[in-house]
Amino acid sequence: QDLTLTLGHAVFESHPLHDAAVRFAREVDERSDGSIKIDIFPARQMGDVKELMEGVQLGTVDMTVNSSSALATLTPAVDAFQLPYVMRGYAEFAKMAVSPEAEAIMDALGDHGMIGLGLYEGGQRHFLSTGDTVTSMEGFKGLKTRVAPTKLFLAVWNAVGVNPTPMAYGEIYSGLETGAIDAVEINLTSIESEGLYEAAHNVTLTGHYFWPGIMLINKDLFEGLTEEQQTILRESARASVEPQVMAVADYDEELKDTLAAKGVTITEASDDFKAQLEEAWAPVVKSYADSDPLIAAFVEKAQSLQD
Amino acid sequence: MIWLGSIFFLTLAMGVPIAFVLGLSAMGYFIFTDNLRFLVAIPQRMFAGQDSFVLLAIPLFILAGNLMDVGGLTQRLVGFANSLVGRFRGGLSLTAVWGSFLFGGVSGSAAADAAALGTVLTPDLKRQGYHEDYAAALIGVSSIMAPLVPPSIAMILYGALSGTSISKLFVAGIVPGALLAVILSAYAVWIAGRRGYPKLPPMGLAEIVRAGVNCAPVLLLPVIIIGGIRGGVVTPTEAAAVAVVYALIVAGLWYRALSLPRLRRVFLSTAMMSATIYLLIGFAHVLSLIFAMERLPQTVVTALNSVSENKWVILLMVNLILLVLGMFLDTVGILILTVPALMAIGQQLGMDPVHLGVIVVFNCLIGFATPPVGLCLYVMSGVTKRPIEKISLHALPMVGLALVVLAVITLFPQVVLFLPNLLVH
Amino acid sequence: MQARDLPPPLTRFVRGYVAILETLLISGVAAVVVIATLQVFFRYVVGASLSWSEEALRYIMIWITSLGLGLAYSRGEMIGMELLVHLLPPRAALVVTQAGRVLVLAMMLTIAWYGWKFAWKTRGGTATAIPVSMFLIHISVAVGSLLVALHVAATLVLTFCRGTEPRSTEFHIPEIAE
Ligand code: NA
Ligand code: NA
Repeated sequence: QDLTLTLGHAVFESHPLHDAAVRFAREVDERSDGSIKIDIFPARQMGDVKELMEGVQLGTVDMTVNSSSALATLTPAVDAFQLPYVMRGYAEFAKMAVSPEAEAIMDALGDHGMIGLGLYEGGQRHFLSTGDTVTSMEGFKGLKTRVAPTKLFLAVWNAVGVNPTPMAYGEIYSGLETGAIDAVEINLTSIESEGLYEAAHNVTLTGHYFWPGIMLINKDLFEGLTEEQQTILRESARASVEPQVMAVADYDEELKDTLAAKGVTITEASDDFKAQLEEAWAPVVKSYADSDPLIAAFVEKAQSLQD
Repeated sequence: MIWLGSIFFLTLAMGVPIAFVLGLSAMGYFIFTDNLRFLVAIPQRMFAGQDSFVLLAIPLFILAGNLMDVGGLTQRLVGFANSLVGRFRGGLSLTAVWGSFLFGGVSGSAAADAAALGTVLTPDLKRQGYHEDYAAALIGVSSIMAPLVPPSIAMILYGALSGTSISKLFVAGIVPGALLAVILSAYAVWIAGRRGYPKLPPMGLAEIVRAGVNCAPVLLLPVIIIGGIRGGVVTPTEAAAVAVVYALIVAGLWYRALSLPRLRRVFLSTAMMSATIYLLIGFAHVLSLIFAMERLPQTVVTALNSVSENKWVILLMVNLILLVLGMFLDTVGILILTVPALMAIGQQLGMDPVHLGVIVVFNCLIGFATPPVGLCLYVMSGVTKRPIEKISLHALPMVGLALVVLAVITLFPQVVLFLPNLLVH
Repeated sequence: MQARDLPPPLTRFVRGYVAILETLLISGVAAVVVIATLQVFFRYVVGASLSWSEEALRYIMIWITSLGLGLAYSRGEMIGMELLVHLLPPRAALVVTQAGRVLVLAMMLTIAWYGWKFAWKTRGGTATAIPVSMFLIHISVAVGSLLVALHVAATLVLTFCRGTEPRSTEFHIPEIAE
């Protein structure tokens, strides 16, 4: 074997982004006839999201597959991937993930010493609450809702009238259980894997945005590889995107039944409700598209797919 | 790993402060294994290890404890303990034990407990004819109850590192702490009987009530902390902030014991103590990267399994390893170094993480009272100006009793778990 | 670093340095208390959670650590296992302790250098909720390491000049207030 790359990530092995790493590693193994090995360190063994991102920048971690929201602090255009209702379904996400518009945004990470090889998916986000199921805009009013405190998420959640409350990921369970928060916007996978269904029972399937992960490699390292190796890595990443994303879609369907069996009420957001949400979020999407041509191009392409 | 281990023990033996021992081990590992590109990971990981909201509870609880101490709380607690247990043979030594337990309700660290009670009580104990080394040892060993009674820095750290509910851990420490207090009291009474240590004049109910009211705000603090977290008002870190505000009000407005120079000193010493703990956390986080790269937790689990698959044998080995580590390292260091491997072991044994946490913390706390590096014995040596070897000798039987309590909480999970299961969740 | 050991201009410099650090540390701890209290207040009383408080608290505490470590070192807050060293004859003990200090000094200078590289390479990022460049936050590690290096070097030099190990209580920078 000519080359071993360490890939660290911050999620448990049941998480879709671990699946992304595994699929990528398998593709690389096949395409390189075993001459390139991807050594995966799951579950924060090499550090959390921020450390892994810095590790790839500094060259202490070769690769990671990391939540895109963390990268928005470096390259604001990355926010394009999480604008609400710009992409509606997993199939559309899979198409957009390999679009030239998405690649242009990932290329911008090159300024920070990283190369984005591929855009994967960690699970579409929905709304989990401890009180009544939220079925209308009124239901959001004043709910203490855990969100990651980025500018984008604060704008998105302020726009619908909740009280966005920053809280560490590990504190969500006890926050819901004790009532320190009333709700959380989250993916079905985490509701299951973190046992959140014990503390909160009502899910509204809002599907407001996705939770993408970007496969990153240190830039100097990548540029030092042979052209053939570079091609193998790029093609392996690209080839593993669609199957990974669609596997998450299937897994979500499975989870709806699993969670329902555990006593969770799962309610589809009505078309009317979704229309109201889209209307509330339109100004947010517009202001982000206006702020960056890369975002504008991505939004335009995504919307053209919807029509 | 050989490099890492050699540098670790060499610099430890040279008397280099523990935090730097961890840093030097990590740096030496990167240099001697030809991994120079990882040197930049040292500052990066130091930062990341310290960058945690949960850990913020540590400086805040230290501050709350320091405020209560300068507020004159220790004397009040001693007065209350005296009114309850002073009437028995060896009365003042019992006061030391139970005063320590009560002080645990405002202090998150054993060293702070030892320093506070040691300063207040050892002169009196000496005057009443107690052997000074025995008195110092008793207070030193009793002080390890402070982190068992909420709040507790050790529990916060274990919770943060393992993702275990901190409020559950807080509550789970209370019964083991009380068991230790009871067993140490029995020992103190037995010693007092043999050596003829005096009783104190018994106090009437009115006096007990007065002493109780006098320190009621202090006794309320743990209730506020647990209640606040349980009631969904605050997270553990925020509870610590509330504790600080509460301590400011009690010490300032109720006891009227806060002046600006005093506040200055308290804030400054809080900054120093916290900085020292944070440095340790930072360096240990660098080491944990090396452990991950070397896949150490898996190795440890495999090694333990190769000796035995029996749950109790494995737990016995875990306890022994922790006790040995506790002889040389302090709680923060041990927890950061071992929790990843311990979680893997706990999972394999199907143990409740709260139960495991209390066992681990209890082990670390015993380390505070064991030579050669027993922080609380050092504190008592500083307070009494008696040689550490003499104090350690008197501490040994009490450490033995603490081991009995450790055995009980290891073998009977319900002793640890029934209270948190009752109150939390 | 006792004032009486130093020539007067240096004494004044040390006092000024200590005064500035102490003021920063005290303000930092006060800020942590105030912001953490505000966070609870805004969530429960006002009903509008603060988005910036959590991050601000974390970063203030890290800066407190960096600024406080040097002083903490000189005030003997960092404990080592000195048992074995004390078994040695005084002269040998002194040599071993000083050798340990040289190692620590070398390490802290190395960390300061790489801490600078770390901050520089990640300077393109901004904090999540507060509009501050990550450079200003990450550089704290380099600053803290330099300060520790400074205090270790001072201890090293003073011990060397005197030829005896100073008592830990002697290593107190004189209090300014009170
Ligand atoms: Na305590
Ligand atoms: Na010890």
